[in-house]
Amino acid sequence: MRKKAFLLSLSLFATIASAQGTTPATPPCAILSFSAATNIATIEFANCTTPAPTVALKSEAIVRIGDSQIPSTIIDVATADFGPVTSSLITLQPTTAAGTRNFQPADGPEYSGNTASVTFGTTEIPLVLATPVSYTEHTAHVGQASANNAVATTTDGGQADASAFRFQYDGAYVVFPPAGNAAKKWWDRGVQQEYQLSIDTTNQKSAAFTDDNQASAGVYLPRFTLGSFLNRARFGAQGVYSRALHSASSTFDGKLMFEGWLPFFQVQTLFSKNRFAAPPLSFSVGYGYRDQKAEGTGGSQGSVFDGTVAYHLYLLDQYRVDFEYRTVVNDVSDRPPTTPRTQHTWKASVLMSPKPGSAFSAVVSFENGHSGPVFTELRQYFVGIGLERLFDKK
Amino acid sequence: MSSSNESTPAPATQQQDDELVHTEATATMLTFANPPENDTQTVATGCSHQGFSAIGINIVSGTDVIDFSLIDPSMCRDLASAIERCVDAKGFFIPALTGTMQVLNQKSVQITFANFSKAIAQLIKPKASVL
Repeated sequence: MRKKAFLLSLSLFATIASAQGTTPATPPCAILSFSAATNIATIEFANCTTPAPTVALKSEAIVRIGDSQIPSTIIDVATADFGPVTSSLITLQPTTAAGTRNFQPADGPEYSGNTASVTFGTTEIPLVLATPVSYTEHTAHVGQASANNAVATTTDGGQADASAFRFQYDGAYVVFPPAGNAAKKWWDRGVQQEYQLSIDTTNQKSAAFTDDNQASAGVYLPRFTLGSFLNRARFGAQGVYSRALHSASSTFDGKLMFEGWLPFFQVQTLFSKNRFAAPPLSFSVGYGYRDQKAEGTGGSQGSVFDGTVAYHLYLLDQYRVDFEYRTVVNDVSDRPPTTPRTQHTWKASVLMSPKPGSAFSAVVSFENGHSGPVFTELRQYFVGIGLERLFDKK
Repeated sequence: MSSSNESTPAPATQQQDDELVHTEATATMLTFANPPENDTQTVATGCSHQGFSAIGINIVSGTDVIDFSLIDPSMCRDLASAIERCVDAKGFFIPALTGTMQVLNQKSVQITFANFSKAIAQLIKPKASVL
């Protein structure tokens, strides 16, 4: 079996994100946000093919969120001008009346669904919630992958093609804790549920090609910050099932997780006129139990630790370099001889955006290390052209 | 020999009275030295700075370019909340901003901090004029 793989792939990829639980036929045109400070809600009109509705100050409107109906008064109309993005903002305040629901976060916009709308006079406009009950996201890549050597062997010893059709999919479903819990102590606001499905495989049954597929479920406490030392940190628990589609190798990990950002390590900018500002170095560590099944060795169990750090660097005004380094310490009792106790993976991606808001972006990445339940030592190049906002209205 | 007027300090009450005399010139100087927080641009800049700090991003100068492509929807909500609370605490009104921040993220907007805070300033109004 080949231990080293060298993949070069050229792919097109598309991203579809939705806050509605299902992918909408048209992109969100009007977004409903609630203020963290006062009992108001703001509707942002962006991406709309038609102008924002003309409304009069102090006129009435009805906001519907899930099963709730909130009679409101328009208290402000404004234009937000953030350079390439200009949008219209209409702010509403609930009409004061006993027994009516309101937007105040402490009381909670008590809704159980992602559906919302506003009615101005006789015109009803569907809204997307900026803070939905749940969130769904899908990313899919398809393309050609090639091994560097024409002699690629299949996992059962036969000869495989040196090229393969590669398919990548990432799906996420997130259920947020109730918005009304925001005023409570951070540990008492409820947990966030996260479910993910990740597929990265080819149509070739060969260790020369990646075959790394995962399904995971996790629960996380709300994020917290410790001064300028630790930012957006959170604790959680996660279960991850990984398996190769072209062999019987699989692992199941049950782990306690801790992740966050270290603001001391801000992003760096090199050879640019201006300094870029973006999220600082992030980390994630997990420790727990692993149940591993590898072809030829049967099952074994033991502890597992994994740690990941990610960092961004900006170059020459229009390039961003993303680094990610991952270490896995696999301490199961009966590891296959081809599986090292400690696996290291690192990845560097260079992303180029021709100009802000462009419909195209390019990415080149290099990935090296051990990856996935088949424990292939992987060296992989990736060249991609991104099509951004495929479903936006222009 | 110095005169008594030169060697004897003015009585404390007289000195305090002198310091409390506010002419138009001294008022202008005080304004430049300590601008009051009723300037929407000052509030916008301070609160925007505070908002980015809340999500772990340190702003060094107005020319810093904020890359919203990396500020995910969850961070957008925290950024908006921090700015809204800060502006409210200073006695001003600002619309709910989470949706605006999410649109900047969806569009992968890159904007300087100075222009970002100018846009925020345009949205800020005295509370009494709105609520």
